[in-house]
Amino acid sequence: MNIFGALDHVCSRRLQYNGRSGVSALPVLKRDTDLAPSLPVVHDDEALVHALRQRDPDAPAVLFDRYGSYIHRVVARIIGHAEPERMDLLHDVFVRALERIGDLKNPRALKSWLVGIAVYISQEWLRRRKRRGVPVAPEKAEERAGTSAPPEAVEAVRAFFLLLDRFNEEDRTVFILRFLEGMNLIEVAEACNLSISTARRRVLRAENRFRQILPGFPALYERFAGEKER
Amino acid sequence: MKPDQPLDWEPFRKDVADVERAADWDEGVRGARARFLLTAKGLPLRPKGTRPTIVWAAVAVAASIALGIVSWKRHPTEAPVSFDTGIEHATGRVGAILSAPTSESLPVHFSDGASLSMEAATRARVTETTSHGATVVLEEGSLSVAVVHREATRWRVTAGPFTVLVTGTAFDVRWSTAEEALVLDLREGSVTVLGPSLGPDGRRVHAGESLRVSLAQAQNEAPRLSDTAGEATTAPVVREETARAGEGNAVGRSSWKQLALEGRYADALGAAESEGFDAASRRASSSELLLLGDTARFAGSPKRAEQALLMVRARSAGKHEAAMAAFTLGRIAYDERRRYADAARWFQSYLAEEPGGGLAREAAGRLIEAEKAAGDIAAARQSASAYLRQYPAGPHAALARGLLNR
Repeated sequence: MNIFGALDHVCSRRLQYNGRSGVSALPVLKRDTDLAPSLPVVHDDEALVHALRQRDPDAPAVLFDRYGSYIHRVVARIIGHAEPERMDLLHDVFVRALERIGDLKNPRALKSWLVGIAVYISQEWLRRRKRRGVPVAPEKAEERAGTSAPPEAVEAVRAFFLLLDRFNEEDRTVFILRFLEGMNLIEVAEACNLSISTARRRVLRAENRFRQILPGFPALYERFAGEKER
Repeated sequence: MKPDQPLDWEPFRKDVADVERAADWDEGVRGARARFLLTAKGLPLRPKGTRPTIVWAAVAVAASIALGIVSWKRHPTEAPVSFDTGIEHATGRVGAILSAPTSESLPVHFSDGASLSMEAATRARVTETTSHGATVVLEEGSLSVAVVHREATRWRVTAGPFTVLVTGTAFDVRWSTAEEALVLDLREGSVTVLGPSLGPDGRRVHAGESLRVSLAQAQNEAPRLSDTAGEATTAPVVREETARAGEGNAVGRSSWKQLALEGRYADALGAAESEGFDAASRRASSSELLLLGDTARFAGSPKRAEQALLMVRARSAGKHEAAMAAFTLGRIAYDERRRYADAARWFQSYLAEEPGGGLAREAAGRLIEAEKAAGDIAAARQSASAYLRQYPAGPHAALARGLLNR
């Protein structure tokens, strides 16, 4: 077990015994198994980071192919599925990563470092949006787009992002990372550049708020209410 | 749900995964990848571990403030670019259809200095504007595009499944819905074209070159790139490849398509099922998906028809094909499913998206029928009144008058 695995393990045990949030099951972020297949040229993150620092011309493509889909998902979940600017933000995350690759202290932590950049850029975007005002109501965009996913799932997800618009950027981000991405508190704290206790406090605050306003979103509420209550 | 009961996130996580899978984000991610790789080529790397000293930081802060003041004066806000159309400079609206008259071109001017010239009878939309550029969807016809290069310029022109990424250049682009073919002639600079058969990085096109690519061609071979001097020799490519697809040579996709075009709907649906309906749907263009939807409907499978049509809605939001899908979904909801409220919603969607479309009169009439069948008489009367104002002698006029005279 590497140091990150050990930290996951320790953190999960501690919170399972001592956690107060009522969320005792702590899903650990799935490691790289669900990512886009890596190219054969570079097999591990350390070698990839080395190649990026040496300005290997193929390295940026390998970086994007390895983490592009995953980072896109993180960005889309933080800012909302219906936001067309998520592709611009995805581009910006990787440009920022390439510019700052010299700052990455632990090359093995490349993925969580990218998530940190994605979180930072997404939060910046959310702040800008707040200043500008939301240009298109999310429900309108969803309705127009249509989808082949089950209608109840579409409705629940639409309601979820409407609900999240009532959160501030910080709570929204920790909430998404913790509950939708399934990160543990160490990972949330690292991605958001917070101490673990601050991350825990924000997760608790966001979860309590979520529970309070959830009944106002019936399409979402029924996904959590369980069969017994339907 | 009890206050102290832990929330079970698994069902909702599955919902999110389902919605994300159906959203088909691959093309957008490919676009971001191509833009990133273009940017990466000229990107300076900050040396490892370098930290500006306090003095240098102070200098940098002072310089930033000075530059900030200058740039604030030049660009006071991060407002998206705006645009106007025609010689009268009518204010443009994001999402609205721009239609050049049949006898003359239509100029479109953007606040960042970019300009479009839409040739006669061309249809296009500006679907998104940002502070760095805009996205233009070419639905049919030809555009001459001139984009002024600036740092972080982000312009996109999409036509069918193809996307042209622009940072600063001048080019002509043509798109034919019937042939599903894109022709791009580059006059200045360079662009990257993304789309089927163009590879994960897309195809870079330089000044003086011409790219011709069609969906049928994309199924069979790599697109041809030539300099403009060789244009005449490459011109037949699109026609040749389109004809090949029509003959049913292309593997999979054209087999069900060929059968559908021959009116053998049950056989066509069987062919689509045998190659995997989901895979066939993913490979199909939006216009082919409409055909697949009709094929399934005529073959007696409303479920498959809805699947294909909802995919059109997801993939081509805001486009003509999406409106056509809405109309057909309305017909299925009414005729096959007997879900009249759903049918009314789909007909309303069609009318909202293409109020002057070829099926507008029919949709307006069927909306009255659907609302009446759903028992929403107040809405039906309202729709009837609107119908009579617009189509006093239309085929649903008698029904409309009957409702209003109740």
